[in-house]
Amino acid sequence: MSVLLDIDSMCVHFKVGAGLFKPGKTLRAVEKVSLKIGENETLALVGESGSGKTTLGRVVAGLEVPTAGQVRFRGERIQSSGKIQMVFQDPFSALDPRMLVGDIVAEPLRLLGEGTAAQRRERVRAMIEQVRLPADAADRYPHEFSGGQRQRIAIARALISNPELIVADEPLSALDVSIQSQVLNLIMDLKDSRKLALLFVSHDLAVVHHIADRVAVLYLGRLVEIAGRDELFSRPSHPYTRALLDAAPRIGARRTRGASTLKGEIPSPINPPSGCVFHTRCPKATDICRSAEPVLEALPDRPGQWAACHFKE
Amino acid sequence: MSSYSLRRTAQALLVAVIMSFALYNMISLLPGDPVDLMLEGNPSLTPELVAQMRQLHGVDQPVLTRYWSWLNSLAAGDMGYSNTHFKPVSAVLTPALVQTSKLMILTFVISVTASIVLGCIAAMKPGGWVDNVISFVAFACISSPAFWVALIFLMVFAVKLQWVPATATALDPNMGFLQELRYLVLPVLTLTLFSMGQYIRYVRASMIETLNADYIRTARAKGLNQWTVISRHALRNALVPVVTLMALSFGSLMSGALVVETMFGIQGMGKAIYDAVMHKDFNVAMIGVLFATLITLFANLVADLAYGWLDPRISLK
Amino acid sequence: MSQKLVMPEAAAPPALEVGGLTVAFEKQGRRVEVVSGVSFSIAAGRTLGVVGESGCGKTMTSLAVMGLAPANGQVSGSIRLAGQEMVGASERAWADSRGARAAMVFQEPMSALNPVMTIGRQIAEVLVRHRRLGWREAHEQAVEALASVGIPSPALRAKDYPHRLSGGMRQRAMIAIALACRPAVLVADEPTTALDVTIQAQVLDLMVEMQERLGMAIQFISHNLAVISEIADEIVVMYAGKVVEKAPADELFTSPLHPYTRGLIETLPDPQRRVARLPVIPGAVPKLDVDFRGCRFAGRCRLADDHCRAVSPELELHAADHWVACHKVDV
Repeated sequence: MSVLLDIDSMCVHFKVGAGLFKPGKTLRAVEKVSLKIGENETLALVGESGSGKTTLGRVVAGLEVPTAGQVRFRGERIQSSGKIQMVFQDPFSALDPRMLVGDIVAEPLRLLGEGTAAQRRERVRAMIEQVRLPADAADRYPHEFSGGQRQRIAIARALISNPELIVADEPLSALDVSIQSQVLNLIMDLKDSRKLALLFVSHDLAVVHHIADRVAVLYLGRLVEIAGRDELFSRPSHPYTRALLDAAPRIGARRTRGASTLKGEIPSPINPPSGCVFHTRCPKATDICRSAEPVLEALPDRPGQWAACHFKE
Repeated sequence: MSSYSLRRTAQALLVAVIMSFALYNMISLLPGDPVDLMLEGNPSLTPELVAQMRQLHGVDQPVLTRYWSWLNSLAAGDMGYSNTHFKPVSAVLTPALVQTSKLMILTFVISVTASIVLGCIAAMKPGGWVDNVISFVAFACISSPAFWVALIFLMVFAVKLQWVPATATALDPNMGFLQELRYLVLPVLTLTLFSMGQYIRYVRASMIETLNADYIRTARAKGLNQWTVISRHALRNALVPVVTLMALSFGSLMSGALVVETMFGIQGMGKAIYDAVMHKDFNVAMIGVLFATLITLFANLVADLAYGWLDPRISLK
Repeated sequence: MSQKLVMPEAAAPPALEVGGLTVAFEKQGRRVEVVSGVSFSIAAGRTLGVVGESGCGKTMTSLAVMGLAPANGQVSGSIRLAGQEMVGASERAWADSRGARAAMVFQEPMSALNPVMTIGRQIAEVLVRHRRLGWREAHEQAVEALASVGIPSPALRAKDYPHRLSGGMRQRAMIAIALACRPAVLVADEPTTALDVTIQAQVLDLMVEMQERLGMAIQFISHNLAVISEIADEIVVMYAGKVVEKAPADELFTSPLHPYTRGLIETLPDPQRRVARLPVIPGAVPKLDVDFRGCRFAGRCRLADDHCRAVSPELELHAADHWVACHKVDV
């Protein structure tokens, strides 16, 4: 399986709060992240607020520029070639309310200069059918559709230029529970039939478990663990991964008071802690954790699983 | 926050200086100069005398030089000499300023208080009959031209009912304050109605939006009664945008005052500036207009600072 | 709406008892029932989970329990707080009870807290209102309240404005506000939905801890079945304004009876239960401004027949404490 996307030591820093007489601070949204996505592979990016997962997704989609490091798609810089497309979280604000659905879906083709108007209309019609929307959807406006249907429109728009990689940023979070599975099934069907690679950003571990081949865990902009789906869920190595899995609500589990709950707040990406950024909340933290930042290393007896921890299991 | 205040104040002063330069140039673009007026009044002046007078008054020099010397004098406290009144400018404008200030301050205080109260009452039940009445009144106030309102008031209250005097020209500066109020009632009322119309709409709109906020629902969930919810929780939030608008409009009260002063014969700033411009009394016009500019700048500054003080999220810059 | 309330003799009345609650609005001349004949009760120290999707009426139910339903809504039925009937009570009676006997926590702590008032004052205000304390004393107790919900440096935090606190801290502050007067009932509307997963766990822990300490009944509303499963003792499943199933938590998950409940549980991805393709509930949640005849779920139900579409099922007792509103459940 060849490598489609190669991210190498990528950093994304933002300047915040700079005024006339103030130097401003640096918000380290993504810090030295390296990972690869292969063809037809689904990599999930998991993390909480400040993890940088959304920023990372936006860089891959070409919406942000990295401050340092390289992002290469098939060996070249990311360009607007329609090969990488994005689906956003909020179906209500992702579609221009003044455009007809047909125009919304056709827009990537129009911007890429592909085909005649008639050809584009035909492709739109085919796409709308593939995402299981009613045939007359192209002539209606977004507000006439429900949240789940709007997300399908967004997916149609993302797929019409025949991309190879889709970045999906929390595509299910804004939908009703009974609709989430419909859209999730659709995404998986399309992914399989079109052999798409998928960068799936989510905080919902149950969904991630269903769809991902590999999972990357981010904390405060750093990649703390990356592993195959089954390995990550059954034998997490990094304490943060373990904490995330413990905290995720599960049907049938009763809330036991306090025992395994992770303490403390998520630090600010403007003022990250020293050494290992997780040390302020880590039950295993010792002096070395406070002073030395751990490096992402492969686990000796588990191929494909990497963790950045001085005490990884 | 104080570094913010210092920066804003420095900004305001800078703008004031630039404005004074712009104003000076604009006024000097007016056709004619003070010497022309004297010429009109005294056609027998010889060209040599005219040239001499021009030199005396310094009007034959280029604008920049004149501006610079004017600015220097001003910095030293000398505001210049009025050619039409034959008095220092300060002696001309100070009494006018006093009159106008009384008018503006009274108007501002009454209109702000009344509009906050009425706007809140209207917002409590939007679409209800109370709201409809108040909104209609506000609309009527904005739509009615000030001079027309002034005329109506004069006709009804001064002429027909004879409750108050019609004109303030008989104003004696040594009169007691209460007596003076009789003369000010109609002009203040006229000016108040106009600004109140605007303010009521701002307050009402802002209050309606605030009352829809989540934290108002939380306040009610704590068992607070309607009055406490409005006065303690909603009001401060609702006033944040309104206060800035009000502070900004304080400056424009001065131009509104001009019309009212004319209608009621009050010897205020508006009249003084108008006369000065018409009679090409350079110095008075300059100081008068500059003063109006300063008022507006000051109001802007106060608005910015007030905004920072009212909303704790803003002050931390 | 028939429901038999089985009251053990000589026991204290439940902290909250809701009977046949209906909230209706006039929309363009027709009457729309957003909440329709809802009944449940919560005993002291117990947690009732109310689960459902958008439009099911769970939020409106919780607002009605607090007397905060919109003024143009018609509330009928029975709401008893510690035995006292509140439907039809004066606004004064409601205001006395809100914050003191029943309190509420909302979903978005950022917008639910007054941005221009300090946290300490927002807590103190409840104490001044209901406990008749002076402001100084109320403020001291407010600091204690902040400490009891696990906020570090509470004396300093009390002087902060909401925007200075993180999301988790704000939600703790909201809980402190709600519990300041030790109410008998805490209504929590999606309290952790806007929080990160690890912070959600902390806040859920806190709520359990506070319940153990103060003994209040909790009405916990959420669309997240997994969260409800972790915290609720009994669960009420709502759909399109009606209760479709009501059971103790364990019972609901081991043997869900209503097709909607089953569909909901099956449609969730679950790491313990691997499927290639998630089962799906077809269609979408219905709009409420249509005249319903028959079961409101019939349009999406595999088992629905003409009888279902014609006659609306009543909530009936199926097993111990397990109530279902469905014609197709074998009784």
